[in-house]
Amino acid sequence: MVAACQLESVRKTYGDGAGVVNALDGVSLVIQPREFTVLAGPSGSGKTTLLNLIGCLDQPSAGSVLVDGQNTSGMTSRQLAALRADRIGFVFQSFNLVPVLTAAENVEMALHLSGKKWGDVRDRARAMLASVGLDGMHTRYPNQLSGGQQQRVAIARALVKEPALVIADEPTANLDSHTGEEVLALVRRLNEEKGATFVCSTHDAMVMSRARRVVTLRDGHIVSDEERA
Amino acid sequence: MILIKLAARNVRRNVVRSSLSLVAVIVGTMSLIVGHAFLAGLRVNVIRSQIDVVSGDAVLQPLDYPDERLTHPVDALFTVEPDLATWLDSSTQAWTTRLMFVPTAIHGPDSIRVRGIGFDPARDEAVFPRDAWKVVGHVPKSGAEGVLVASSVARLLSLHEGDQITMQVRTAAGAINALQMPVAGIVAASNPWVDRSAVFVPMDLADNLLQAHGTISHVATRLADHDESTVDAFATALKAHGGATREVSTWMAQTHDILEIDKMRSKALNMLVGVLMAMSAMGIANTVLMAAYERIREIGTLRALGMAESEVLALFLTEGVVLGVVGSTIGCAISTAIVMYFTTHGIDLSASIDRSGGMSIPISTMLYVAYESKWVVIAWTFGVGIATIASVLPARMAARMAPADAVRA
Repeated sequence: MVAACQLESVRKTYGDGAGVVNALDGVSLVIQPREFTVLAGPSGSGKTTLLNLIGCLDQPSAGSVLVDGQNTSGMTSRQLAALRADRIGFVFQSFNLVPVLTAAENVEMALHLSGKKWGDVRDRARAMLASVGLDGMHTRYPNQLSGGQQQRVAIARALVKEPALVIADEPTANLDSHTGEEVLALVRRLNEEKGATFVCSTHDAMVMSRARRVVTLRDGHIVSDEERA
Repeated sequence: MILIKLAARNVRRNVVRSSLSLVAVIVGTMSLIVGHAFLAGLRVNVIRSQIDVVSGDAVLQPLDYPDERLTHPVDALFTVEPDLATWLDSSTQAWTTRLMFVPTAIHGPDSIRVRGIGFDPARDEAVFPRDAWKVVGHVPKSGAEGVLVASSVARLLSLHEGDQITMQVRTAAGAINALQMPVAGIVAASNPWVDRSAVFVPMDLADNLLQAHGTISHVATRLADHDESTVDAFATALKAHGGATREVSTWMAQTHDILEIDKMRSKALNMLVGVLMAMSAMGIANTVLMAAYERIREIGTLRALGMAESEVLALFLTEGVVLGVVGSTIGCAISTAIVMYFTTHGIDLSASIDRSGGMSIPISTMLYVAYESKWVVIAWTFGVGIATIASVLPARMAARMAPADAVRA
């Protein structure tokens, strides 16, 4: 079975000369399909850099990153964009919905960009919104939705194209604890029902408690990799 | 399609900023269309006035005839030979003879120099139409009925229909002659060349006054087609038939100086519009640039969702193009409405002509602007083109943002 994501001796440096910063140093990691993996660690540990590399938003300085079996090293900006459009979904801390598009249109946008033929895009987007508990809210604009509802739209947008991997960057950080718990429950349900592979970065103990696997980073290195029941 | 929808909604996102950019484009396109419509109207007005009032399409006149105002020498008058008359009958829509002179018109204690126009009552109207004339009294059909006096002359000399006017001239032989004659009518021709100085004298009376013995100073012609090449070809043939001691002057030659000034005005207008459009371009560039800076995270999100650099470029370019298309379309629509209104209703120039003392300018006192669809096409294309070009740099800046940085901005 092809790993959803595989990193081999990945190094990522910023700056040059005396000011060089090693954000990641020799990180190797394999994430299998259907896993729910949490990246934990203090600020500056390299979580965001690692998510950027897994999400093909950036490329490593050394080593290799394979997403759904495709090596991203040497890919052009256009090829990386195509890979993101087709195989990767994103959920952001600040939801990052397009404010001038309705909930349904935000979800449809992901389908349009994926480059696949989906049949009736509108019906598919509405069905996806219904599956995240937003039935009947498809015509609302982001500013007409609560934070939790916006994050549900973001989750629907990430999953609607059936990606190999969903990257969630602190998905509960901007939500109150109750809403955060609801969103987390939704993510876990979709992970189990739809078999979607999730990689989350978080500081949130509640998120870590729900994860099957917690990878802890410190100073650009993986310091622990725990499987949980 | 999704890009166009997104671009259109983004343009509406900041209504005030987008509106200001639109206003700049609207003003630019309107200046181009309305400005050129007025210039074209002025050009048509000058040409039509020249043809309908002053010279016809081409005029046969003594060699080296002066074109200064109120200068009409009578020392080189000529006759129309039968061969020339026959040729003119077959080669023109209409032709007529005129005997131009500069008499002193006297009424009571008042006297002024005027433009005497000896005219053939049977032929003159076919060459110089009188549709715009307003006559109090009537146009004399012979010298026995008297003369037709222009409105300004009548006002200055306190003349009314039926009054007696004395015309004093130096004859063709150099003697001084004067005759008293009745005022058959007073004419307002809506043209200062006539209204400010003319006295129309039936040819038999003019001949008697100048002792011209059947000679005339001009043969004015009217063609079915006033097109420059047609008139030029006709003028060449008229010159060949007219004899060595006469020259031919066309409406193009007589309006050359005025139309050259018109061309310079047109260039100046284009420069002005160029400056306005440059300002519009800066407005649009600023709008798109601000939009890009305000939406860095959104750009990052779209890039994370898989939008390629070229699509982000297209998105921001489309926003500029939407501004250009909307602004240019509104500008074209408003200016077309303005131009159409003045095409029908015209603008009364009599007050400004009076102030300028434009006695020698052949121009109708009513200016009807001329609608030229090519300027609508040019203005629209220019507006959209400028908006597109102005959007390129900000759009490229947006497209080149690193998605990893932009998404968390």
